[in-house]
Amino acid sequence: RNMATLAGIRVDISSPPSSAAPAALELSGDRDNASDQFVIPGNAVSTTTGFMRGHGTFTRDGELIATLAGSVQQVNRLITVKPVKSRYNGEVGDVVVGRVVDVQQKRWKVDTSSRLDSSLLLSSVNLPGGELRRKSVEDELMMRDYLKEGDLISAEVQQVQHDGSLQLHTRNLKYGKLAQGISVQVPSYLIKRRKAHFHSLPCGAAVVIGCNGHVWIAPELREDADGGYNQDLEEVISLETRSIMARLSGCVRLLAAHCVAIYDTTIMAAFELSANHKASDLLNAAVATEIASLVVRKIRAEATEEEL
Amino acid sequence: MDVRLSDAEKVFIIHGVQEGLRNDGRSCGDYRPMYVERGVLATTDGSSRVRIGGTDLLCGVKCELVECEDSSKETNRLEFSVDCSANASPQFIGRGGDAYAEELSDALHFAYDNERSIPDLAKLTLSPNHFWRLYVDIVILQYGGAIIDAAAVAAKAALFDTEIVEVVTRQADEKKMTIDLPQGHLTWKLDVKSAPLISSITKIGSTNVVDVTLGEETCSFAALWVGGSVQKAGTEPLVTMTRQAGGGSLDAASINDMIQMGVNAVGRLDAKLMERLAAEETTIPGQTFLA
Amino acid sequence: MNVLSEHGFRADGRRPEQIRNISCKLSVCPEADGSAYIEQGNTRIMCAVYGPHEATNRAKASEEGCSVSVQLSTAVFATLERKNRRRGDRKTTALARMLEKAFESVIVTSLFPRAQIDICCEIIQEDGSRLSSCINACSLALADAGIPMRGVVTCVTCSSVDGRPVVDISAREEMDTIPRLTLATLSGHDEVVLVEMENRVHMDHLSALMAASHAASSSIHQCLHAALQQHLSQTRAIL
Repeated sequence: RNMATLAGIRVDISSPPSSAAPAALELSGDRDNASDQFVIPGNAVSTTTGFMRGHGTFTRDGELIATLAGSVQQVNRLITVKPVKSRYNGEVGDVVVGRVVDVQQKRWKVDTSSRLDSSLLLSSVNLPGGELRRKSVEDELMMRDYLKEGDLISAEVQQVQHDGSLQLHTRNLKYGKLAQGISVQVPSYLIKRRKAHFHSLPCGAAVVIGCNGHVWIAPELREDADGGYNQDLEEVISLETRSIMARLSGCVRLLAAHCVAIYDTTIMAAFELSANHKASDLLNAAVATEIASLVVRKIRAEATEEEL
Repeated sequence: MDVRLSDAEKVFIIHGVQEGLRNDGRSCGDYRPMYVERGVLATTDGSSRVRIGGTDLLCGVKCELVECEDSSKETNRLEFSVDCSANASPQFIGRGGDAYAEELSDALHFAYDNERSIPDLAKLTLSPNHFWRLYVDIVILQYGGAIIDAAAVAAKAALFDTEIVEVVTRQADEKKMTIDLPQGHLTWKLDVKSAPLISSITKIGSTNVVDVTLGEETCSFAALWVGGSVQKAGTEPLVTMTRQAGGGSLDAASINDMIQMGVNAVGRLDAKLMERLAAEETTIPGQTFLA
Repeated sequence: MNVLSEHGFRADGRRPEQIRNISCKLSVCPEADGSAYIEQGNTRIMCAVYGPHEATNRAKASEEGCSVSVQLSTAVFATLERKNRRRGDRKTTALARMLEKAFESVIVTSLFPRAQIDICCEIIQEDGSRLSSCINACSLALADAGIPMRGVVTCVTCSSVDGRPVVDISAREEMDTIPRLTLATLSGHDEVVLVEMENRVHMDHLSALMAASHAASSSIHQCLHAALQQHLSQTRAIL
């Protein structure tokens, strides 16, 4: 039989790109080689006289020593070392997207890519009718009716415990159980804390940018009084919306691969600049680098324009 | 690193696959970009590295000269092994790392176990008492789906890369033969043009899909591994192996469709791989990790 | 077989006090929290770090601080002679425990009670100084993962040949007839994180061997320092 029947299968086998993603951007001159002072663990940061030690440092023989590889930041007399990559360090008020990993008595354990799993107390969620507040043996079973292992939620950090673990709440109409959509995980250091983390994008879909690096792409933003309890799993998202969402997920991935900060402007820039490629072409390393490079130039150009 | 999806995410994926638009924009028959390199290891006679999506595999081929009583009785000329590296092991929690690795090496063995895969395999038999055994060892560095497809590509690329030392056989005492090294270091290579490749066809909902991501994998219960060998360039591959993977069952009508898709995929993979292998020059060992 | 030729050169052309060429790359495993690949001569190691994350190993989880768990495996093709090593063999387990102890003393574990750090090390090619190279690879991977440590640990394995220290030994120099010292120091300074001695050394030769090992470890620290700095500037967030 003839190879004509091969229509429908696409394969691309090539040699790997000559340099991996972040470096590829550097070569094209789009990285500013800023003279940031970097330290590595064990480097002396300063003397302790007059300075307080913050995260990423410890004292030894009257000196402040770095425990992390990163940049030295000084705010008044507080010196910290901010690492490039690390597990998510939550702060009160942060918007996060997390995955339920355990259902316990009156609380759920949620994976937010932090050092310890986060907690979502039963008393911290919005539910229809408040029925689950009963203290009874049926609690756990009924809790599963709402959230079970594998479910995704958007939430806000309510409190940071002594051991660093986070307590979340979803007591706001915009938070709750997430419905159909695409989840993309990126390093949390690429997410800047902004005023808004829920965006209805002009291209026809929505994103929720979790401070913990978990980005959620959805057909639209929903505000459910019941916290997303009732989900219609029969609903079929339109092909057009699906295609926009696939493109957005490719954009978020390529931005992350090139260490470009992820927020609504960069995502939309990537979306627009990728228009003459198919969404699946964003998987191609060369295409991804090209678009990342265009995004950086565009945003920088716009920033300079604003300054003028 | 348990990849668990919510019911809603799974529904989204299943509907998408039905419509022919996956979460990363691919259609059901699209493979993710694959990178293949040869000559990546210094301690082997042939080697390759294959990357696709988050999957990263290393393959090394070592030739061992085996002395025995009767080489016609020892039929194993190729030995496959798959090992999950320490780095990939957290990704295997819940998947049964060692057992899965054995399933993979088993499948490779079966796909190669026929006379059509490597027509000049007989050249590995040097005398009634000597033969070459080729150990094809695969190490999984990272797990991101499409492992069996990548493993078969890695094996074929590494075998293509393998240089076997040219030796001379001559009569010795007691009617036995002995092996000598000739003057000058000469090597030869096996003809691996017909070496098989394997495509895993996964059933999601009622649609058949190639190269599933970890997320897509959670939406499926059944898959079929189809091994095929291209006998003549431009013709449809000969099926050398089919194996069911995943815990679910498949009905007879499905299986035919899946085999056909697998055969098409193997044909396409093979054409692209041979193109790639023809083009590449061997790289310096280690360079692949430092780039 | 002599380690040193009559002119004082080693089989690979190095002088006794010369360490092998080092090349490394960080963040090689995108799925892990931190990772690194290192080449010291022909020894090639890849290391991935997962964590800190909620402890899954309840037995090791502690309120005092985070637990460290090391997994070590060697590729079948790592040596010229193919060795089908089973993962849990005694030598590998012993090495893994030594790695755990070394890093437990350096990582600021008190910051993360009830959490766990998994360090996974894969030996892709082995040409001597296995433990040392693993430690160097793990140090880089831990720094890449943003895990607080009191310093970057570097390690080297050295021998003493007729009283003369020979640093950063390769596989053919690892002989049972000469002493071997593996020394890991913190930030290239004096603090010793791990010291292991194999075979016997004459007391008179010990201090020279220790001094040479310290110096070699410091040289290695300079290389890793440079690699980390370069990696940091390449991966900062843009925009």
